Amino acid sequence: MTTTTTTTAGGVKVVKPTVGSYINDYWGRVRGGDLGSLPAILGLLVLSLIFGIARDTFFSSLNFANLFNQGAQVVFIAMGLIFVLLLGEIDLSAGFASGVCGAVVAILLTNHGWDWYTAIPVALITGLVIGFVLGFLVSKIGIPSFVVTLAAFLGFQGLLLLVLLGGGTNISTRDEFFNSLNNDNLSVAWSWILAIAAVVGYAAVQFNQVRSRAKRNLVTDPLGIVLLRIGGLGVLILAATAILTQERAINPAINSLKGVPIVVPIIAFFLVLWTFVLGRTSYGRHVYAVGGNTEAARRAGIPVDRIRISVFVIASFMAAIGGIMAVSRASSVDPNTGGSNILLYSVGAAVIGGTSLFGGKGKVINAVIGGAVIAVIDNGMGLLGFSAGQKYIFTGVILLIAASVDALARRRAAATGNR
Amino acid sequence: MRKGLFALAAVGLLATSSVAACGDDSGSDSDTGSGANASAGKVGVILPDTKSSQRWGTDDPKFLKAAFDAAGVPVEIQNAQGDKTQFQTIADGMISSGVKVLMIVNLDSGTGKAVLEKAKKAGIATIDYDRLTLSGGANYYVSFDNVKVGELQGQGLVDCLAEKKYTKPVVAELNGSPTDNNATLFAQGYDSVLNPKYADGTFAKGPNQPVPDWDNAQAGTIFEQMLTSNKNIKGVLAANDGLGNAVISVLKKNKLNGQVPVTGQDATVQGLQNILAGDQCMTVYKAIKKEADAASQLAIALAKGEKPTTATGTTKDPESNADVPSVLLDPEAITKDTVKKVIEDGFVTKDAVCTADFAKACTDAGIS
Amino acid sequence: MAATPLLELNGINKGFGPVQVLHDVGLSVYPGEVTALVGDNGAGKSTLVKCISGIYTIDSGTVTYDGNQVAIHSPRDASALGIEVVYQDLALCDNLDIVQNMFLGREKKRGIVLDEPTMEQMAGDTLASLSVRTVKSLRQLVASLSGGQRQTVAIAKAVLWNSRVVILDEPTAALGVAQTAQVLELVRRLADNGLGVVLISHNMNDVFAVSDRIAALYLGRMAAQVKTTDVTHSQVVELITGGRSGNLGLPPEKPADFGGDVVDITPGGDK
Repeated sequence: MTTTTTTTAGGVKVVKPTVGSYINDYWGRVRGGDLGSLPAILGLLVLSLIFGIARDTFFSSLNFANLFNQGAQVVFIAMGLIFVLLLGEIDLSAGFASGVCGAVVAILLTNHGWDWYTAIPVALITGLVIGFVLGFLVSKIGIPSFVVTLAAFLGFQGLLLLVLLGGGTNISTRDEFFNSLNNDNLSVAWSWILAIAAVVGYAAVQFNQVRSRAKRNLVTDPLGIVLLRIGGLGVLILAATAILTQERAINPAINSLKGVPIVVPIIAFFLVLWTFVLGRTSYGRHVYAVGGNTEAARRAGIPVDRIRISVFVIASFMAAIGGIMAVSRASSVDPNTGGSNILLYSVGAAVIGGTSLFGGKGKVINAVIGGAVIAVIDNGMGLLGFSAGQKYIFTGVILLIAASVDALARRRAAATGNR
Repeated sequence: MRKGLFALAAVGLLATSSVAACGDDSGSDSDTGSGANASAGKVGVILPDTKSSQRWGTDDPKFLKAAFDAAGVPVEIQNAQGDKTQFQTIADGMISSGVKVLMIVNLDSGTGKAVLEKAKKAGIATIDYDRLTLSGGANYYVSFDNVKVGELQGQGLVDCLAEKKYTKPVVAELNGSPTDNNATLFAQGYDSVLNPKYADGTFAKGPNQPVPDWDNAQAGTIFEQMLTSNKNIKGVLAANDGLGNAVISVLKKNKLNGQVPVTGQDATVQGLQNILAGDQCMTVYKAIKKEADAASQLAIALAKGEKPTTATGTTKDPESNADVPSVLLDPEAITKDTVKKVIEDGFVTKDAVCTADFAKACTDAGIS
Repeated sequence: MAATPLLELNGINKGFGPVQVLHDVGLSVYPGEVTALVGDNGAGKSTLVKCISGIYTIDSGTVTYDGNQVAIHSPRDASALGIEVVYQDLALCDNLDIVQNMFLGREKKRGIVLDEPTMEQMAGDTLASLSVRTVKSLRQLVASLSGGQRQTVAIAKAVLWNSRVVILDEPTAALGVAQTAQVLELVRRLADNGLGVVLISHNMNDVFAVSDRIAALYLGRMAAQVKTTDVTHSQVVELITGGRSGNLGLPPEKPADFGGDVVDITPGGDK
């Protein structure tokens, strides 16, 4: 493989990467302990293969669509948790915060007859307020986040009971639009339009990046890699859309069931939004900096306290969205909404996806990939008819493996000087 | 670094026992007794949680307190909030405070048995309320006939499926919590109706799974996976209204609601509304007031040192084979036509059930 | 040598409660020169640096910058004047790359979006102006750099902002021989580029290798500020450990014994 040396960036000699050297570099990083989402993606493939071989319905389009609805709550909560984890903090209350916000929306819709477009914003604002209070207590009063959110975990659980016992244990939601959020599908036409728009949008961003760097004579990723990225994502999105636009109704004679689940573009929207915020704004840069070295961030003039409050606000806001999705899916809220294993699964999703519990390392996509692993385990083991006990054990083992991969990677990284 | 590990461990602990919340005394209500009957001893009541059903949080404390107050017997009612340790702590407190009668709804048979034995050693009369503590040896047992509940559910599903005229429909069963003896009794009841139907080929046996802690969200996923792997499911025996609603949400998503009969139990507002909407086939109404009255009557007699006369039946403890003197109440099946009965009883209010969405259905069902 | 100092401190006093840490300290920093600030542990070097960088506010005394008297109340004030400090612990984020670290807290933006190409180009230009050619990629994580490279990045970060005074706190303390030489070379280059450089160091070899002037602090007082060429190794050590060396340094305890002239080159010092 040939490497050409170019003098760019005002005189600093850097090696212009070729496709080969790019792959080599990536492999070097992986061997050096910078694994990212790689273990989770491999795990996802292996699990899917195992379940697919054991039960062919696993690969049916109906089951594929189910996965999104089943995993949505965990994915949304995990997206928010990633911000908190980036600072090396924890939010134990995210599960029940989602339950509280879900209860708020259900009570407003059902008991007070509000419309979805007024009820949902109130639930989201509830999430923002919860996050602000948590963040304030952590950063301004100086209580460890572990304690603050543990207290909130208990408090929200109690609040959920009190609020719901006022009107009967379970409250059904009957608003059609609201229930459709995490149950229904886009029309086939819209499915394709959005899928194609996503691929085109991604390609445009990639090419634009290359162009603006090349214009300044900066090192760019080799064209082959850029095309490979666009092609890979394109094939993935279009293939998924093709599968999801198949007829998958249990009894097609009675009704038709096809199209991308509505929750998919919602997940995609927040994935893009938060990825943009973390990667392309100074706010995101500061979140990483505070997580990596708080003192350095403070000396660089970054308002550390405000950053710390903001991540809790984002986490609780995303928990509110997760709660709304959970209530929409069940068309009902009960005192255990957001309870049981939701929080464990959400933290697990972030960690399995490659976010470090020690701060400074993680991406929003980790929530989606890790959430997919969790959803696949639940889904596949459900298809095979495993009991809840067996599912818990299996999920626990997977989480342990993911955490070990993180710990071993760090050890490896320390040994190779990659930290 | 250590902070992170600690936090992870804590997340695990919390999530696996999300019910570890310290029980507050939301259900507690101690009455020092207005001194009406000085000869009566105090009665302690421990309820299990506030999550598995709304009755433990609101209905039972209300009905029990009213009955004891009317009889002038002092009573202390507490709720263990799903926490077994809390359950035992409350019991220890009541025993040492000198209650004469202890009435418990156990969280599981193990802790229930420990509490009952401690109470017996202290010479306290014991009543198993609603749930039988296996090998617990309580003096009395008051409950709805849970096997009967299951039979009504089984029969209700048979009737609804007959109405649909499906040939050899596949029936899925979503059982209650595996740690709840009542769930076993319900299953015993409906299986006694369904198994002969499976045997003679009227129905086909479909998937069958318990739902841990009666958790509705998990029930939704479990049923969704049942339906995905077995698309021919034509009837669902869901052990209570919460599980039934989870099933109905999944059916709605697949536009199968109304075509696949679903059972329930507890006559909750949600369940009754689902029945009115035609999505749920039936529910089982257990007049909690009847059960609470029967239990308090028994406890009042014991507290006054009288021999109770109401415990006419017996229940066989399946583990110890002992016959426990029992008051067994009859549950009632509720279908669209009989929803009004539950409202007339005051178990649920018309306002709660007949909201704008259900006004017409209510009128059609003769609720005025 | 430029005749007027770029930064001039006069009669600086700083105390924490009952403890007086700095007594009437004077210091001059000339453009194009490396001024070594030496002193034993607890002599007040860090306190002095923190006063200059605005982390501490001085109790009394004057700071003259570029001929004008200025007040520095916060690190931001110092940065605005063009005074940058490179701390001993570097204050870099391991999980960020070189460019991200260099612009931390002062990112270039277009709208709300980070302007990565501009930042990368500026970072590259700065490193090039310091003749740094050892990094593989500007997008390398700082975690993967050697100690000398990190020091280089920290220094480059300080000069990125057209700063005119750069204060380096023990830049070679944790480095090996070869890397120390690299960093010293870089320090020299900063001065050659016309910046006023303050080098805090314990290492006499480094001090003599690179500095033009030496300022010795002794128990919170400026013992002497001399030209490096005018003193020997052992004289500086005596200044550090005893506050005086021959006729250099602080007057003896009793003013009556005060013999020769105090050679104090600190302009405006000892008034």
